[in-house]
Amino acid sequence: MKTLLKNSACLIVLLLAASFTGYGQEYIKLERSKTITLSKESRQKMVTVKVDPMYNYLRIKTECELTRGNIMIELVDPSGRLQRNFSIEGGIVKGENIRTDRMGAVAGQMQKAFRNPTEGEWSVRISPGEASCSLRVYCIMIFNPRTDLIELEQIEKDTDEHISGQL
Amino acid sequence: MIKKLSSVLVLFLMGFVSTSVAQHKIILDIETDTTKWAPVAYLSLIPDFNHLNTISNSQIIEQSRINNEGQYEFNTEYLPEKEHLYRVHFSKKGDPPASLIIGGKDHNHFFLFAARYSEVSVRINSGNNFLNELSFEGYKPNKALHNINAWLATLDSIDQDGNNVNREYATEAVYSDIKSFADTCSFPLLSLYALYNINYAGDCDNNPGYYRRYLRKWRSQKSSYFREFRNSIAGGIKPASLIAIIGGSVFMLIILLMILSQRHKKNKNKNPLSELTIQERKIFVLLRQGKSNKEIAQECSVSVSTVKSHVNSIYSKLDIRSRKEVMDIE
Repeated sequence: MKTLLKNSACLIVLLLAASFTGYGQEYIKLERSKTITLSKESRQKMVTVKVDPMYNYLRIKTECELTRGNIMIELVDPSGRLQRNFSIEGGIVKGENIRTDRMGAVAGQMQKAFRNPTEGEWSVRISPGEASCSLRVYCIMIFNPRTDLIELEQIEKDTDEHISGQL
Repeated sequence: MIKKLSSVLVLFLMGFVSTSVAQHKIILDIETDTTKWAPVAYLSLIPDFNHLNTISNSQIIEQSRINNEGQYEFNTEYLPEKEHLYRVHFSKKGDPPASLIIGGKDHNHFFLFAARYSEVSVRINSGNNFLNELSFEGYKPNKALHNINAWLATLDSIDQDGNNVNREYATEAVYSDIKSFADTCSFPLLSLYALYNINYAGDCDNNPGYYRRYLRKWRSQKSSYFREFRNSIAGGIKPASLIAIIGGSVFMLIILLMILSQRHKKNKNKNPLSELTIQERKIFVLLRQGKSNKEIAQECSVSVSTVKSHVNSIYSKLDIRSRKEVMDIE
């Protein structure tokens, strides 16, 4: 009987220790945002994001509004693979039936999210061609000890609200 | 009898009228959240597949406001006669009309194929997820186009929900499926669209035979899409016949050089006396000893004329003309 009590006590202590270890790791959220204004003379630029292996969620979003010239924006992972890209070409509206209050402006946006992202340097490569534009690169990295508890849609909504507004 | 005939005639005319008023339109039955999105759909012509992710005002060829039935419509009678790829997109309120959003819950566009007089009907099944909730009717290649996009969308989901190992494996599997589809697809533009979505540029180096066969298969295609494709891989893939000719020539040249080098080596090392027969060598030694033809004939127990014949042969083989030169040979 005595041994049984002793073993049970040991088991309870072990279970408590294990659970405290799990909850001891805290939820960490790291946000970075960079706004860049490009003029006609601007050359290629690179925005890099260093992803530490501890993070188990990464979201990178880039948005750009351009009034003149053209621009190509590419998201490249640490292994050099192109993950996503878009390009914007400015110019006068040709179609007769296109009439808006923001004639000539063109906007582009791309976003990509990764669970358990590859560690290393992620980069957003910006290649302008005589472009007059503003662009914003936004990045969020999250560590959550319970990966399954990351509410991706909620994060997307929160971050969109956080960075909303005209460029 | 007359009544019967007239009723048949009326039925025939009704049938004729119903077919003649066929709607040459792209009809979008899509419920958008009007608090967030402007109630306007834009149709852009995509001139080549390198411009899938490019947005510009000049690409937009028409806009459509939502009608009383809650639909958007584009007339296809003014479209180019041949099939082209088009993009339909919506803009958020406050954004410029030419605005492209790629990925995430606000992904704002989808692609479709159409030609002049095409009839295309697009419906969104739930919400406004343009990535995988669309259904197409009418112009047939659009259903398959949507399937390709759905395959690609699974990669995004895996990026978002999977781990590195799954990601690599899934990408390989999806790319392989799409490549097989491109190989067997009978609609050329759709087949090419599939290839543009699997990073074909990198694959050209690993599998040039596939792309050579592919180019042969669609060599009659003259559209801007195929022209661009041919230009983009022209440097990456060399025609098989050219490779064979170059390879064969190099091989022959190597063999020729080896033969020449062997011959040169042989000539260089050869002793001219080794070409003489045993009898000729014996006579050669006697010649060097200064003996006359008669003395040599006696010593060798042959006639003088035979000796003369041997001497001539020796001169010829050693490329000499007199007994004095026999003495000079080392």
